[in-house]
Amino acid sequence: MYYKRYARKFLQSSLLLSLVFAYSIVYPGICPEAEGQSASVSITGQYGTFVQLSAGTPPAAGGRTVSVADKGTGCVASGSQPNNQAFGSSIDFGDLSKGDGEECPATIGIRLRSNSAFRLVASMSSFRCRGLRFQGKDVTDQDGGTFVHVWAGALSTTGANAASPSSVSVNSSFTGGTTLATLARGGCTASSTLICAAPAASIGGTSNSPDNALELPIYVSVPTGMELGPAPGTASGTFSFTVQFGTYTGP
Amino acid sequence: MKTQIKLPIALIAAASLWLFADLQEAISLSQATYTGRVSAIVSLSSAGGQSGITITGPSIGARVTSTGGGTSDFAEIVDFGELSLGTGEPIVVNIGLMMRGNSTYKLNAANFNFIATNLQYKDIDVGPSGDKGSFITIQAGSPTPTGVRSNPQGSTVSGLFQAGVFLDEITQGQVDAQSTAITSGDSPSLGGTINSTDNAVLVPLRISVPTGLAIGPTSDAAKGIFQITLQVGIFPGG
Repeated sequence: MYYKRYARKFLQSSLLLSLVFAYSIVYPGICPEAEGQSASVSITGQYGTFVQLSAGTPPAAGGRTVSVADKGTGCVASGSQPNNQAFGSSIDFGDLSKGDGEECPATIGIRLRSNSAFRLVASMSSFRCRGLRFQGKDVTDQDGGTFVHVWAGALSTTGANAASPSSVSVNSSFTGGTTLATLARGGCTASSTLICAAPAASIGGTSNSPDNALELPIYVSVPTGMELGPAPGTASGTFSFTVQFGTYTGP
Repeated sequence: MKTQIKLPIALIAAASLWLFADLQEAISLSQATYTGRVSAIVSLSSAGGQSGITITGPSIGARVTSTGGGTSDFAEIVDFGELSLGTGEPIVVNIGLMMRGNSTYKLNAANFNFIATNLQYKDIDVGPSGDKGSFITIQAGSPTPTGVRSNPQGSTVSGLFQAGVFLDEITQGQVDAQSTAITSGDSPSLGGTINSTDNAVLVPLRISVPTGLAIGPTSDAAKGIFQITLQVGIFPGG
């Protein structure tokens, strides 16, 4: 009898200790008064898509280079320095009639980061000209820039955490060159004219990393010399247009 | 105790949701604005380099000298010599005018200077106070291109110069935008610069003077002479 009573108390004590031990694993430091309850820890996380468009490094100053020194047109460019923010650049080609007859290109540097599939698109958000002729024909606001050529340069990376340029699909219209008039009109949307797309622009880093961006130069050129001229009865003509660039998630 | 336990979990969940919302802002926009301007450029030069003049008709021993040329202002000097020794047929000098430009234009002419001494034409005295060159005819030929970036179709020769105009019928004095038009029209060039070889429009200007006995000295003189200066200028607009 004595043996049986001793064995029953031993089993009861062991069970109680086991429960206390098990509970203290889940909630360390908790008193065993929670006998009979259970607990669990749920661990979750999410990774959202991220794409970023900012001014690139190749063009040196302000996100763009205007190679007009040999054109004699007095081109001036201004805008934000290369950074991680959206940019607004302004390029004044000057008096193109005084140029050397060759095309005058201005380069915009585009810097791309993303952790997901993205597409870089462009649209012509505004086009305005006054008293302008191209190859002897009047140019109106509806022309949209048949005299302006647009093309994309060679892709490059800022470092080892950028995706391979070979993974980027560039619209053949931009590799071969197109005119401004072929771009989508209005504000930039996801369905604007595609420049390039890729599964990702970055394979590591953050939105501030110096080594994880793809860079794409976009060239915009206009004629110089006598290809453009003022409309009849005017001594000069002008034009102004704005190209918007946008990055969107998805292929 | 339960509240203390669940609080960190609640914070984690809230933080996750906030980050998730931020990451969905996947659009990024930038823009570049381009501006430029053009200005009217027109140029007039001598066709054929240093001498744009050819002479047709009876050879009277005419001499031609030129200054300037190329794409610069130019001056052509023609000395016909003794015209009375000619065959009676007019002698004609062809001056080649080369126009370039990116705007509408007017090519004008003016009788800048006319001097005649002891000269009569068909028994009419020719001099500063009277006739100022009715014996000299000027005519413009059809515009022709120098290359693929020329626009001769845009130019129209004025009726006066198509038919031929006498020197005394055109504007007197220095040539300007209001002088007598030789041609006018759309931009002569569709590209290139003032130095390009393929973007000019050529307009031949024919100036003829009589030879033989139609012109001679006045009755009391052994010899009569004349000297004229014809100015030609190109002006934007028109």
